[in-house]
Amino acid sequence: MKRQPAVVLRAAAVRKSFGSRHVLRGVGFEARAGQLVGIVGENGAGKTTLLRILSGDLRPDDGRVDLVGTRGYCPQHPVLDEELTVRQHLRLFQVAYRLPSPGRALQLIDTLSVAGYLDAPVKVLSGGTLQKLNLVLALMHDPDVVLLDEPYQGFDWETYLRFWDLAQELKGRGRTVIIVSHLAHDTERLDVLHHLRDGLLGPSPAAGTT
Amino acid sequence: MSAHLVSAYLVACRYALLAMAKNRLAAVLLIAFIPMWITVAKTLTTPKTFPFRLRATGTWLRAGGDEITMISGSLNAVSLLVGFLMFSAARRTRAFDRRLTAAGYPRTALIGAKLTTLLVASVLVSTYATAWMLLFWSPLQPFLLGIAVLAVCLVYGAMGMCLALFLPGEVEGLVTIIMISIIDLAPQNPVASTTADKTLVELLPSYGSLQTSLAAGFTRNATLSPLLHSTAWLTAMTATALAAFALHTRAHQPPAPHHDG
Repeated sequence: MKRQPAVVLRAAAVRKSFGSRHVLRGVGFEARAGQLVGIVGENGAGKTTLLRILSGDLRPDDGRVDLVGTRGYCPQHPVLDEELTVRQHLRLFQVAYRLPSPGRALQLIDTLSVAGYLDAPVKVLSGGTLQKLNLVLALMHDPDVVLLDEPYQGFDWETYLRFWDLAQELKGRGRTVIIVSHLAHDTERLDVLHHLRDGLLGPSPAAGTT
Repeated sequence: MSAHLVSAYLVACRYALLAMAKNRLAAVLLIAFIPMWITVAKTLTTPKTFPFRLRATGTWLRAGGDEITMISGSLNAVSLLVGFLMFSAARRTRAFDRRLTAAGYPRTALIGAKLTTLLVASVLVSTYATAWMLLFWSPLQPFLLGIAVLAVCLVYGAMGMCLALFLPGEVEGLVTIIMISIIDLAPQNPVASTTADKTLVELLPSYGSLQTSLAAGFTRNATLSPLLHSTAWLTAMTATALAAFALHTRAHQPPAPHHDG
Protein backbone atom coordinates (compact mmCIF):
# COMPACT_ATOMS: atom_id res chain seq x y z
CA MET A 1 0.00 0.00 0.00
CA LYS A 2 1.32 3.41 -0.92
CA ARG A 3 2.19 5.52 2.11
CA GLN A 4 0.39 8.84 2.26
CA PRO A 5 2.57 11.96 2.34
CA ALA A 6 2.98 13.61 5.74
CA VAL A 7 0.53 16.19 7.07
CA VAL A 8 2.34 19.54 7.01
CA LEU A 9 -0.46 21.86 8.03
CA ARG A 10 -3.19 21.17 10.52
CA ALA A 11 -5.81 23.63 11.72
CA ALA A 12 -8.08 22.53 14.55
CA ALA A 13 -11.21 24.23 15.91
CA VAL A 14 -10.03 27.68 14.83
CA ARG A 15 -12.37 30.44 16.00
CA LYS A 16 -12.22 34.14 15.35
CA SER A 17 -14.68 36.93 16.03
CA PHE A 18 -14.54 40.62 15.32
CA GLY A 19 -16.81 42.17 17.91
CA SER A 20 -20.16 40.40 17.68
CA ARG A 21 -19.41 38.99 14.23
CA HIS A 22 -18.32 35.37 14.44
CA VAL A 23 -16.21 34.97 11.33
CA LEU A 24 -14.70 31.53 11.99
CA ARG A 25 -16.68 29.14 14.19
CA GLY A 26 -14.42 26.13 14.56
CA VAL A 27 -12.54 25.60 11.32
CA GLY A 28 -10.44 22.49 10.96
CA PHE A 29 -8.59 20.88 8.06
CA GLU A 30 -5.35 19.19 7.13
CA ALA A 31 -3.02 19.55 4.20
CA ARG A 32 -0.37 17.08 3.14
CA ALA A 33 2.97 17.52 1.42
CA GLY A 34 2.54 17.88 -2.32
CA GLN A 35 -1.12 18.89 -2.20
CA LEU A 36 -2.82 21.78 -3.95
CA VAL A 37 -5.61 22.83 -1.62
CA GLY A 38 -8.31 25.33 -2.50
CA ILE A 39 -10.49 27.22 -0.05
CA VAL A 40 -13.42 28.97 -1.67
CA GLY A 41 -16.21 31.04 -0.23
CA GLU A 42 -18.29 34.09 -0.90
CA ASN A 43 -17.10 37.62 -0.29
CA GLY A 44 -16.83 38.21 3.44
CA ALA A 45 -16.96 34.49 4.28
CA GLY A 46 -13.73 34.79 6.29
CA LYS A 47 -11.25 33.34 3.80
CA THR A 48 -8.69 36.09 4.32
CA THR A 49 -9.13 35.88 8.10
CA LEU A 50 -8.43 32.15 7.97
CA LEU A 51 -5.36 32.60 5.79
CA ARG A 52 -4.04 35.36 8.05
CA ILE A 53 -4.39 33.02 11.00
CA LEU A 54 -2.60 30.21 9.12
CA SER A 55 0.21 32.63 8.25
CA GLY A 56 0.62 33.78 11.85
CA ASP A 57 -0.42 37.32 10.94
CA LEU A 58 -3.54 37.14 13.13
CA ARG A 59 -4.14 35.39 16.43
CA PRO A 60 -7.15 33.04 16.62
CA ASP A 61 -9.50 33.45 19.60
CA ASP A 62 -9.41 29.70 20.05
CA GLY A 63 -8.07 26.59 18.36
CA ARG A 64 -4.63 25.84 17.01
CA VAL A 65 -2.58 25.75 13.87
CA ASP A 66 0.39 23.41 13.42
CA LEU A 67 2.68 23.85 10.49
CA VAL A 68 5.76 21.81 9.66
CA GLY A 69 8.57 23.50 7.77
CA THR A 70 8.82 26.98 6.32
CA ARG A 71 5.91 29.04 5.15
CA GLY A 72 5.38 31.69 2.48
CA TYR A 73 2.44 34.06 2.65
CA CYS A 74 1.07 36.14 -0.20
CA PRO A 75 -1.43 38.68 1.20
CA GLN A 76 -4.53 39.61 -0.78
CA HIS A 77 -3.41 43.19 -1.41
CA PRO A 78 0.24 43.68 -2.34
CA VAL A 79 2.13 44.82 0.76
CA LEU A 80 5.13 46.66 -0.66
CA ASP A 81 7.12 49.86 -0.14
CA GLU A 82 6.07 52.19 -2.95
CA GLU A 83 9.35 54.14 -2.90
CA LEU A 84 11.57 51.10 -3.45
CA THR A 85 12.31 49.29 -6.69
CA VAL A 86 11.53 45.65 -7.45
CA ARG A 87 15.22 44.75 -7.03
CA GLN A 88 15.37 46.51 -3.64
CA HIS A 89 12.37 44.46 -2.49
CA LEU A 90 14.13 41.27 -3.53
CA ARG A 91 17.25 42.35 -1.61
CA LEU A 92 15.28 43.06 1.59
CA PHE A 93 13.51 39.71 1.46
CA GLN A 94 16.75 37.94 0.60
CA VAL A 95 18.04 39.26 3.94
CA ALA A 96 14.79 38.37 5.72
CA TYR A 97 14.85 34.77 4.47
CA ARG A 98 18.65 34.56 4.86
CA LEU A 99 19.15 33.45 1.27
CA PRO A 100 22.76 33.31 0.06
CA SER A 101 21.75 34.49 -3.42
CA PRO A 102 18.70 36.01 -5.13
CA GLY A 103 18.82 33.22 -7.74
CA ARG A 104 15.38 31.73 -7.20
CA ALA A 105 13.77 35.16 -6.88
CA LEU A 106 15.22 36.21 -10.23
CA GLN A 107 14.06 32.96 -11.78
CA LEU A 108 10.50 33.63 -10.55
CA ILE A 109 10.72 37.21 -11.78
CA ASP A 110 11.64 35.80 -15.16
CA THR A 111 8.84 33.22 -15.16
CA LEU A 112 6.27 35.89 -14.34
CA SER A 113 7.72 38.38 -16.90
CA VAL A 114 8.70 41.07 -14.41
CA ALA A 115 12.36 41.19 -15.47
CA GLY A 116 11.81 44.40 -17.43
CA TYR A 117 10.73 46.21 -14.26
CA LEU A 118 13.56 45.20 -11.92
CA ASP A 119 14.78 48.75 -11.44
CA ALA A 120 11.42 50.48 -11.56
CA PRO A 121 10.02 51.94 -8.35
CA VAL A 122 6.98 49.99 -7.24
CA LYS A 123 4.73 53.07 -7.31
CA VAL A 124 4.83 53.24 -11.13
CA LEU A 125 3.94 49.55 -11.67
CA SER A 126 0.53 48.30 -12.83
CA GLY A 127 -1.75 46.34 -10.50
CA GLY A 128 -0.92 43.04 -12.17
CA THR A 129 2.84 43.61 -11.90
CA LEU A 130 2.49 44.55 -8.23
CA GLN A 131 0.66 41.30 -7.65
CA LYS A 132 3.45 39.37 -9.39
CA LEU A 133 6.04 40.91 -7.09
CA ASN A 134 3.73 40.21 -4.14
CA LEU A 135 3.74 36.55 -5.18
CA VAL A 136 7.50 36.37 -5.81
CA LEU A 137 8.17 37.66 -2.27
CA ALA A 138 6.08 34.78 -0.90
CA LEU A 139 7.80 32.12 -3.01
CA MET A 140 11.44 33.20 -3.32
CA HIS A 141 12.64 31.16 -0.31
CA ASP A 142 10.97 28.02 -1.69
CA PRO A 143 8.81 27.45 1.40
CA ASP A 144 7.32 24.08 2.32
CA VAL A 145 3.84 25.53 2.72
CA VAL A 146 2.63 28.35 0.49
CA LEU A 147 -0.43 30.38 1.57
CA LEU A 148 -1.87 32.40 -1.28
CA ASP A 149 -4.77 34.83 -0.92
CA GLU A 150 -6.42 35.47 -4.32
CA PRO A 151 -2.98 35.13 -5.91
CA TYR A 152 -3.93 35.68 -9.57
CA GLN A 153 -5.87 38.93 -9.21
CA GLY A 154 -5.07 41.24 -12.08
CA PHE A 155 -3.07 38.63 -13.99
CA ASP A 156 -3.46 38.47 -17.74
CA TRP A 157 -4.34 35.10 -19.26
CA GLU A 158 -0.73 34.17 -20.06
CA THR A 159 0.41 34.88 -16.51
CA TYR A 160 -2.61 33.09 -15.11
CA LEU A 161 -1.60 29.94 -16.97
CA ARG A 162 2.01 30.36 -15.90
CA PHE A 163 0.82 30.68 -12.32
CA TRP A 164 -0.81 27.24 -12.54
CA ASP A 165 2.36 25.78 -14.11
CA LEU A 166 4.26 27.19 -11.15
CA ALA A 167 1.75 25.69 -8.71
CA GLN A 168 2.12 22.31 -10.42
CA GLU A 169 5.91 22.60 -10.27
CA LEU A 170 5.74 23.32 -6.51
CA LYS A 171 3.40 20.38 -6.00
CA GLY A 172 5.74 18.16 -8.00
CA ARG A 173 8.54 19.00 -5.59
CA GLY A 174 6.43 18.09 -2.57
CA ARG A 175 5.44 21.60 -1.60
CA THR A 176 1.97 22.31 -0.26
CA VAL A 177 0.01 25.15 -1.84
CA ILE A 178 -3.10 26.60 -0.18
CA ILE A 179 -5.07 28.91 -2.45
CA VAL A 180 -7.92 31.06 -1.21
CA SER A 181 -10.32 32.41 -3.79
CA HIS A 182 -13.86 33.70 -4.10
CA LEU A 183 -14.14 31.91 -7.43
CA ALA A 184 -14.53 28.17 -7.65
CA HIS A 185 -13.34 27.83 -11.24
CA ASP A 186 -10.32 25.78 -12.21
CA THR A 187 -11.14 23.42 -9.39
CA GLU A 188 -9.93 20.48 -11.49
CA ARG A 189 -6.42 21.74 -10.95
CA LEU A 190 -6.75 21.25 -7.18
CA ASP A 191 -6.34 18.09 -5.14
CA VAL A 192 -8.71 19.17 -2.39
CA LEU A 193 -11.34 21.86 -2.35
CA HIS A 194 -12.92 23.21 0.82
CA HIS A 195 -15.87 25.53 1.02
CA LEU A 196 -15.97 28.13 3.77
CA ARG A 197 -19.55 28.92 4.70
CA ASP A 198 -21.13 30.28 7.88
CA GLY A 199 -17.75 30.21 9.58
CA LEU A 200 -17.24 26.49 9.00
CA LEU A 201 -15.24 24.56 6.46
CA GLY A 202 -16.93 21.81 4.52
CA PRO A 203 -16.26 19.79 1.40
CA SER A 204 -17.29 21.65 -1.68
CA PRO A 205 -19.97 20.12 -3.87
CA ALA A 206 -17.79 21.14 -6.79
CA ALA A 207 -14.78 19.18 -5.54
CA GLY A 208 -13.34 16.85 -8.11
CA THR A 209 -15.76 18.00 -10.80
CA THR A 210 -15.13 20.31 -13.69
CA MET B 1 26.46 41.41 16.91
CA SER B 2 26.15 38.92 14.08
CA ALA B 3 27.25 39.69 10.55
CA HIS B 4 23.69 39.04 9.41
CA LEU B 5 22.32 41.67 11.76
CA VAL B 6 24.88 44.23 10.62
CA SER B 7 24.15 43.55 6.98
CA ALA B 8 20.38 43.69 7.67
CA TYR B 9 20.86 47.06 9.39
CA LEU B 10 22.97 48.45 6.54
CA VAL B 11 20.51 47.36 3.85
CA ALA B 12 17.50 48.73 5.78
CA CYS B 13 19.33 51.99 6.47
CA ARG B 14 20.38 52.50 2.87
CA TYR B 15 16.87 51.94 1.54
CA ALA B 16 15.21 54.05 4.24
CA LEU B 17 17.51 56.97 3.45
CA LEU B 18 17.09 56.53 -0.32
CA ALA B 19 13.31 56.47 0.05
CA MET B 20 13.38 59.55 2.26
CA ALA B 21 15.52 61.41 -0.25
CA LYS B 22 12.72 60.86 -2.79
CA ASN B 23 10.24 62.84 -0.68
CA ARG B 24 9.92 65.76 -3.10
CA LEU B 25 7.60 67.90 -1.01
CA ALA B 26 10.01 67.71 1.92
CA ALA B 27 12.93 68.60 -0.36
CA VAL B 28 11.12 71.67 -1.70
CA LEU B 29 10.16 72.73 1.82
CA LEU B 30 13.76 72.31 2.95
CA ILE B 31 15.36 74.20 0.09
CA ALA B 32 12.80 77.00 -0.26
CA PHE B 33 10.68 77.24 2.86
CA ILE B 34 13.41 77.38 5.51
CA PRO B 35 15.43 80.23 3.94
CA MET B 36 12.21 82.05 3.11
CA TRP B 37 10.98 81.85 6.69
CA ILE B 38 14.34 83.02 8.05
CA THR B 39 14.57 85.88 5.53
CA VAL B 40 11.02 87.04 6.18
CA ALA B 41 11.46 86.89 9.94
CA LYS B 42 14.73 88.76 9.85
CA THR B 43 13.79 91.44 7.32
CA LEU B 44 10.11 92.10 7.98
CA THR B 45 9.97 92.14 11.76
CA THR B 46 11.14 94.97 13.97
CA PRO B 47 14.80 95.18 14.99
CA LYS B 48 13.65 97.13 18.08
CA THR B 49 14.97 95.41 21.21
CA PHE B 50 12.72 93.91 23.85
CA PRO B 51 13.52 92.93 27.40
CA PHE B 52 12.63 89.36 28.32
CA ARG B 53 13.41 86.94 31.08
CA LEU B 54 15.27 83.78 30.09
CA ARG B 55 13.34 81.28 32.12
CA ALA B 56 16.12 78.69 32.13
CA THR B 57 18.50 80.96 34.06
CA GLY B 58 16.18 83.64 35.41
CA THR B 59 18.29 86.40 33.88
CA TRP B 60 16.85 89.38 32.03
CA LEU B 61 18.08 89.87 28.48
CA ARG B 62 17.44 92.32 25.65
CA ALA B 63 17.27 91.21 22.06
CA GLY B 64 16.00 92.45 18.71
CA GLY B 65 12.46 91.45 17.83
CA ASP B 66 13.72 90.35 14.42
CA GLU B 67 16.27 87.99 15.93
CA ILE B 68 13.81 86.48 18.38
CA THR B 69 11.27 86.00 15.61
CA MET B 70 13.92 84.42 13.41
CA ILE B 71 14.86 81.91 16.14
CA SER B 72 11.28 81.04 16.86
CA GLY B 73 10.43 80.88 13.13
CA SER B 74 13.38 78.62 12.33
CA LEU B 75 12.51 76.22 15.12
CA ASN B 76 8.98 76.20 13.79
CA ALA B 77 10.07 75.51 10.20
CA VAL B 78 12.54 72.72 11.00
CA SER B 79 10.18 70.98 13.39
CA LEU B 80 7.42 70.93 10.77
CA LEU B 81 9.78 69.60 8.16
CA VAL B 82 11.40 66.78 10.14
CA GLY B 83 8.06 65.91 11.75
CA PHE B 84 6.48 65.58 8.32
CA LEU B 85 9.42 63.60 6.90
CA MET B 86 9.41 61.05 9.69
CA PHE B 87 5.61 60.85 9.77
CA SER B 88 5.44 60.17 6.09
CA ALA B 89 8.20 57.51 6.19
CA ALA B 90 6.67 55.71 9.19
CA ARG B 91 3.19 55.73 7.67
CA ARG B 92 4.44 54.47 4.30
CA THR B 93 6.33 51.49 5.74
CA ARG B 94 3.84 50.46 8.45
CA ALA B 95 2.33 47.42 6.72
CA PHE B 96 5.52 46.60 4.84
CA ASP B 97 7.61 46.46 8.04
CA ARG B 98 5.12 43.98 9.40
CA ARG B 99 5.47 41.77 6.36
CA LEU B 100 9.27 42.03 6.40
CA THR B 101 9.58 41.09 10.06
CA ALA B 102 7.09 38.24 9.63
CA ALA B 103 9.37 36.94 6.87
CA GLY B 104 12.28 36.99 9.32
CA TYR B 105 13.85 40.43 8.96
CA PRO B 106 15.51 41.30 12.29
CA ARG B 107 13.39 43.89 14.08
CA THR B 108 16.41 45.44 15.76
CA ALA B 109 17.88 46.14 12.32
CA LEU B 110 14.71 47.96 11.26
CA ILE B 111 14.58 49.89 14.54
CA GLY B 112 18.24 50.83 14.10
CA ALA B 113 17.52 52.02 10.57
CA LYS B 114 14.59 54.15 11.77
CA LEU B 115 16.67 55.80 14.47
CA THR B 116 19.50 56.40 12.01
CA THR B 117 17.07 58.00 9.55
CA LEU B 118 15.76 60.26 12.32
CA LEU B 119 19.30 61.28 13.24
CA VAL B 120 20.46 61.84 9.66
CA ALA B 121 17.36 63.88 8.74
CA SER B 122 17.66 65.96 11.91
CA VAL B 123 21.38 66.64 11.46
CA LEU B 124 20.92 67.63 7.79
CA VAL B 125 17.94 69.89 8.36
CA SER B 126 19.31 71.53 11.50
CA THR B 127 22.73 72.18 9.93
CA TYR B 128 21.09 73.72 6.88
CA ALA B 129 18.75 75.93 8.92
CA THR B 130 21.48 77.00 11.34
CA ALA B 131 23.75 77.91 8.40
CA TRP B 132 20.98 80.16 6.99
CA MET B 133 20.52 81.86 10.36
CA LEU B 134 24.24 82.50 10.61
CA LEU B 135 24.12 84.33 7.26
CA PHE B 136 21.88 86.96 8.85
CA TRP B 137 23.04 87.01 12.40
CA SER B 138 26.03 86.32 14.67
CA PRO B 139 24.85 84.55 17.81
CA LEU B 140 27.28 84.50 20.74
CA GLN B 141 27.41 80.68 20.73
CA PRO B 142 26.69 79.38 17.21
CA PHE B 143 27.48 75.76 18.05
CA LEU B 144 25.01 75.73 20.94
CA LEU B 145 22.43 77.26 18.60
CA GLY B 146 22.98 74.34 16.21
CA ILE B 147 22.49 71.85 19.05
CA ALA B 148 19.23 73.55 20.06
CA VAL B 149 17.92 73.36 16.49
CA LEU B 150 19.01 69.70 16.26
CA ALA B 151 17.12 68.94 19.48
CA VAL B 152 13.82 70.31 18.17
CA CYS B 153 14.29 68.35 14.92
CA LEU B 154 14.79 65.11 16.87
CA VAL B 155 11.77 65.77 19.12
CA TYR B 156 9.44 66.52 16.22
CA GLY B 157 10.84 63.69 14.11
CA ALA B 158 10.07 61.22 16.89
CA MET B 159 6.66 62.86 17.29
CA GLY B 160 6.01 62.31 13.58
CA MET B 161 6.82 58.61 14.03
CA CYS B 162 4.35 58.48 16.93
CA LEU B 163 1.57 60.24 15.03
CA ALA B 164 1.94 57.75 12.17
CA LEU B 165 0.67 55.10 14.57
CA PHE B 166 -2.88 56.35 14.57
CA LEU B 167 -3.31 58.95 11.82
CA PRO B 168 -4.32 57.42 8.50
CA GLY B 169 -3.26 59.91 5.86
CA GLU B 170 -0.44 62.28 4.96
CA VAL B 171 -2.74 65.31 5.08
CA GLU B 172 -3.99 64.44 8.57
CA GLY B 173 -0.40 64.05 9.74
CA LEU B 174 0.77 67.31 8.23
CA VAL B 175 -2.14 69.32 9.65
CA THR B 176 -1.70 67.77 13.10
CA ILE B 177 2.03 68.51 13.15
CA ILE B 178 1.37 72.13 12.09
CA MET B 179 -1.26 72.57 14.82
CA ILE B 180 0.98 71.07 17.50
CA SER B 181 3.87 73.24 16.42
CA ILE B 182 1.71 76.40 16.58
CA ILE B 183 0.35 75.54 20.02
CA ASP B 184 3.87 74.67 21.12
CA LEU B 185 5.78 77.76 19.97
CA ALA B 186 3.27 80.62 20.06
CA PRO B 187 2.86 80.87 23.85
CA GLN B 188 6.62 80.69 24.36
CA ASN B 189 7.63 83.54 22.09
CA PRO B 190 9.20 86.14 24.36
CA VAL B 191 8.08 88.99 22.05
CA ALA B 192 4.46 87.92 22.00
CA SER B 193 4.41 87.21 25.69
CA THR B 194 6.99 88.72 28.01
CA THR B 195 5.34 86.85 30.85
CA ALA B 196 6.01 83.51 29.23
CA ASP B 197 7.28 82.06 32.43
CA LYS B 198 4.45 79.93 33.64
CA THR B 199 5.39 76.41 34.68
CA LEU B 200 3.16 74.97 31.98
CA VAL B 201 5.43 76.50 29.34
CA GLU B 202 8.25 74.26 30.52
CA LEU B 203 6.24 71.23 29.50
CA LEU B 204 6.01 72.21 25.84
CA PRO B 205 8.03 70.08 23.38
CA SER B 206 10.13 72.93 22.01
CA TYR B 207 10.76 74.59 25.39
CA GLY B 208 14.28 73.16 25.65
CA SER B 209 15.27 74.22 22.16
CA LEU B 210 13.86 77.74 22.39
CA GLN B 211 15.49 78.44 25.75
CA THR B 212 18.81 77.04 24.57
CA SER B 213 18.63 79.02 21.31
CA LEU B 214 17.96 82.26 23.21
CA ALA B 215 20.81 81.48 25.60
CA ALA B 216 23.08 80.66 22.65
CA GLY B 217 22.13 83.86 20.89
CA PHE B 218 22.35 86.39 23.66
CA THR B 219 24.49 84.99 26.50
CA ARG B 220 27.92 83.45 26.89
CA ASN B 221 26.68 80.86 29.36
CA ALA B 222 26.60 77.27 28.20
CA THR B 223 23.05 76.73 29.43
CA LEU B 224 22.37 73.05 28.87
CA SER B 225 19.69 72.30 31.46
CA PRO B 226 16.72 73.11 29.14
CA LEU B 227 18.00 70.43 26.78
CA LEU B 228 17.05 67.91 29.47
CA HIS B 229 13.44 68.79 28.66
CA SER B 230 14.11 68.06 24.99
CA THR B 231 15.77 64.78 25.96
CA ALA B 232 12.73 63.80 28.02
CA TRP B 233 10.41 64.54 25.10
CA LEU B 234 12.67 62.70 22.68
CA THR B 235 12.90 59.66 24.94
CA ALA B 236 9.15 59.53 25.55
CA MET B 237 8.28 59.91 21.86
CA THR B 238 10.90 57.44 20.64
CA ALA B 239 9.98 54.88 23.29
CA THR B 240 6.29 55.15 22.36
CA ALA B 241 7.01 54.80 18.64
CA LEU B 242 9.34 51.84 19.13
CA ALA B 243 7.04 50.07 21.60
CA ALA B 244 4.19 50.43 19.12
CA PHE B 245 6.47 49.13 16.35
CA ALA B 246 7.37 46.09 18.46
CA LEU B 247 3.69 45.47 19.21
CA HIS B 248 2.66 45.94 15.60
CA THR B 249 5.30 43.56 14.23
CA ARG B 250 4.97 40.81 16.83
CA ALA B 251 4.42 37.33 15.49
CA HIS B 252 1.41 35.39 16.70
CA GLN B 253 3.18 32.09 16.38
CA PRO B 254 6.79 31.17 16.68
CA PRO B 255 8.31 31.05 13.21
CA ALA B 256 8.17 27.56 11.76
CA PRO B 257 11.45 25.72 12.28
CA HIS B 258 13.61 25.15 9.25
CA HIS B 259 14.17 21.58 8.34
CA ASP B 260 16.50 19.96 5.88
CA GLY B 261 15.35 18.58 2.60
